[in-house]
Amino acid sequence: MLSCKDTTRLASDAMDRELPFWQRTQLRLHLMMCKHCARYVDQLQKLRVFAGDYDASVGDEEPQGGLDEEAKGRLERALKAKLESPPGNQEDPA
Amino acid sequence: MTETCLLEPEHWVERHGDVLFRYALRRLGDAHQAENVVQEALLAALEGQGRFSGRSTERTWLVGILKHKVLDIFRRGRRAGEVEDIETAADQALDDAFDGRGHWVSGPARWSQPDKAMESRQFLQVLTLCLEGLTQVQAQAFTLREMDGLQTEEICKVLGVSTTHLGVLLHRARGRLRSCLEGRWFAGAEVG
Repeated sequence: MLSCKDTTRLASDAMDRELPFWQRTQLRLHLMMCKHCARYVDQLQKLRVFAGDYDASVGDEEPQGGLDEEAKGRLERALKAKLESPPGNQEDPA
Repeated sequence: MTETCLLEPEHWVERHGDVLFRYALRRLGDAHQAENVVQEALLAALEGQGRFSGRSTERTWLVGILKHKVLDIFRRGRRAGEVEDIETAADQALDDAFDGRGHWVSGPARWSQPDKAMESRQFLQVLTLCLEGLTQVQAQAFTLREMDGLQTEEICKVLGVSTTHLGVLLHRARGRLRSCLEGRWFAGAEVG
């Protein structure tokens, strides 16, 4: 019988790769009987959804959390400098 | 030049700057480093304009370039042995949740309204804070797996760790994030 501690580790592994049959069975049995571990696994799944949504939220319009004006200026200048430099300049003569 | 979708580098910063910056910031956790890598990506994009096929949007194309630049940073950040040093010791905070026989001391709390959490801007901030609480390599492993959806073999290559080691990193990252979110956000939930 797996301990709860071992179960949390195995449950994490199961999110990244297919476990061998015996481990999978042990895990399933434990989760059927243990409310705490079942809840833990459920919360790891929710965490996965949060992470996906968190990443997707980069596209949301946000009042803060973007580049500040100074940083934008720096980026604009860097791009402009490169745009205006003739293509030959990209190779360092030194 | 018959494509409907042309690149307009003079508008990149204004149109996509914030999105690119947030993308980098979520992965690097450092505003200065995020700005630098955005600049690096934009300059690389400028040089590689010829490779833009017009099949994706300008933004998707730029994010794709940025993604590679971020992976380069992850790769560069790993010196041999560094990961070993940080991660071979036991994780006391996680171990404390269990007694000597590996049973839960009190077990995870029930989360109230987890489906509503992402609607809240504060929750995003809490998530950011919790990610910052991980070790750098734990955060990188978690990001590559759960945000970028990479397979374990690819992540092992980027971070220079073994499969077993990655398993430990992800287990710890998830365990810590779970308990951090519980403590900082879902704490109002009743236990039982």
